[in-house]
Amino acid sequence: MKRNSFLKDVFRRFFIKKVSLVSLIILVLLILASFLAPLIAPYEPDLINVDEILLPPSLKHPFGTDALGRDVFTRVLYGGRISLLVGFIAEGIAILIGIVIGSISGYFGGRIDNFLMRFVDIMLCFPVFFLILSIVAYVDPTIWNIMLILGLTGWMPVARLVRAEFLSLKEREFVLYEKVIGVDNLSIIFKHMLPNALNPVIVSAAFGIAGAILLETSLSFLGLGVQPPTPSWGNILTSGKDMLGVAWWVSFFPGIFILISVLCYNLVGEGLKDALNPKIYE
Amino acid sequence: MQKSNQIILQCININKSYELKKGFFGGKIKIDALKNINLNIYSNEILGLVGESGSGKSTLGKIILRLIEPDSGRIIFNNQDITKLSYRDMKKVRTKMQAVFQDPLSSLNPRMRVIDLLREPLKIHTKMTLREIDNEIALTLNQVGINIDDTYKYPHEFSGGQRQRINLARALLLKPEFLVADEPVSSLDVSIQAQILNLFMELQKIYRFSMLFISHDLRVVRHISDRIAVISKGEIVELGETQKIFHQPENEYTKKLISSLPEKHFSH
Repeated sequence: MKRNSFLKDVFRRFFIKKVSLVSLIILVLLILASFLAPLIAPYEPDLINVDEILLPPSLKHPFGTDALGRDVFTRVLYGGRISLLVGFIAEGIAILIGIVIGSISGYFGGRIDNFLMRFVDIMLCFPVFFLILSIVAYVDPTIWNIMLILGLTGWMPVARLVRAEFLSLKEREFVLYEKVIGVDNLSIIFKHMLPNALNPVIVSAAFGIAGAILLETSLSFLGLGVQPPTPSWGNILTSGKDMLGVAWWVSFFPGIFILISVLCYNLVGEGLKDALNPKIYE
Repeated sequence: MQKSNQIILQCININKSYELKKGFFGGKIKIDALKNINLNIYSNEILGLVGESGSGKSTLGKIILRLIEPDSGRIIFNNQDITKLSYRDMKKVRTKMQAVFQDPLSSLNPRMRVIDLLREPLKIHTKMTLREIDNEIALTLNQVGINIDDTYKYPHEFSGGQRQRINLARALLLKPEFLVADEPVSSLDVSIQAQILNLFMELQKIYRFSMLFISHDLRVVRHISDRIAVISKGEIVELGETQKIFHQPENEYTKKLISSLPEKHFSH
């Protein structure tokens, strides 16, 4: 057997599935296109042109123009920056909090576990979307605030996952052995147990990003998310909703991009789930 | 069997019970895992602890290692009461007290290379340089029949017997005075069991540690132990020299255990 074979096996198993591989490639292209938007986009995102209002898709404007004559293709590219970044960072925050709370809860057990898990239960009782709506009413809806709010309201499933992993891991003999040689609790948790608990977290991260993108989009759609003129997929979609009959392209293209990115994240998550679980292939 | 009379480890009146919840609204049931355990282990001695599953034998091993806190009672190790020691003071004691567990694969962190797992105890407890550590590891691995060049691999790339050799080497790196071996051969193939058992005995002669050898298998315990303690339902029912336990058992439970062995001839 070769060294480092674990990671290699994961990659091999992931690439067997064409669907997840294609999804990953599309995602990478989407992310690249968004972040290289200043190089790719043919116009400025905020460039208003009163002579070219609501033009249908053409060679000059591949996705048409909106009510202010702005190029929709350009705005969708720039909007992707916001929407994809919000999804990524929000889920990152959620995972960090979830890991800390879940691992402490699972490792120490007893009263600490009881307290933290009841807190999770309480957090889960709030309908998340309305919780977010009420928070947004009090803070400025800048993208950083949106990311923070989405992260602070999305960590509970991660905490539960990590806790469940820790509950089974702490009975394993290698963890007992670390205690026998006197390793301190923090090293046991983060150096020895966490790497063994990460697989389900990685999978849930992929689904979580998809969820965060949808939430951000919904917030922007309601006008409580990222504020125009900064484009995000959600607020471009909103700006076109009143003229769906005359200019379908303004809402259609950001909608399609939301659909594709969320679908791809979910399919990548599905692929990772199988790739990280060697039992299926044995 | 060069037994000395110096006591290395003493269990005094150890009690441990678990509370089980009965249903959602039901009350709690108290289950006694260990009842009033008194046990002396002499230096340079292998004491076999034998009992069926659920008898509390592993619980006792874990209490001695302070992985579980007893409800009452004291553990005296090298004339020092370790039952209430702080984490820092206990850490010093831990270099003298090591363990080998039942499942050789589960005992090794699957995400770490074997060499890193072996370095860990020395990194924590000594101020040796990495080169000195690796020299020490090579020496110890040599005694268990493993080449240090093979240890840059992950635990799943070894066989069960090799893994238990690695676990034994890791336990011996700190030159312990006392070893708890909790069913160390019961998950191995019978053909490998004898090899590993003999290795334990060989190394005991070199390192001269005392050992609490926990097993459910009378034949294994008989092969390795100087003395045997028979535990049943949380109580030690009989304790004595290995030969005596096998030839003149006094307790009814011990008699039953011995008569359940497939071969009836016990003379050498």
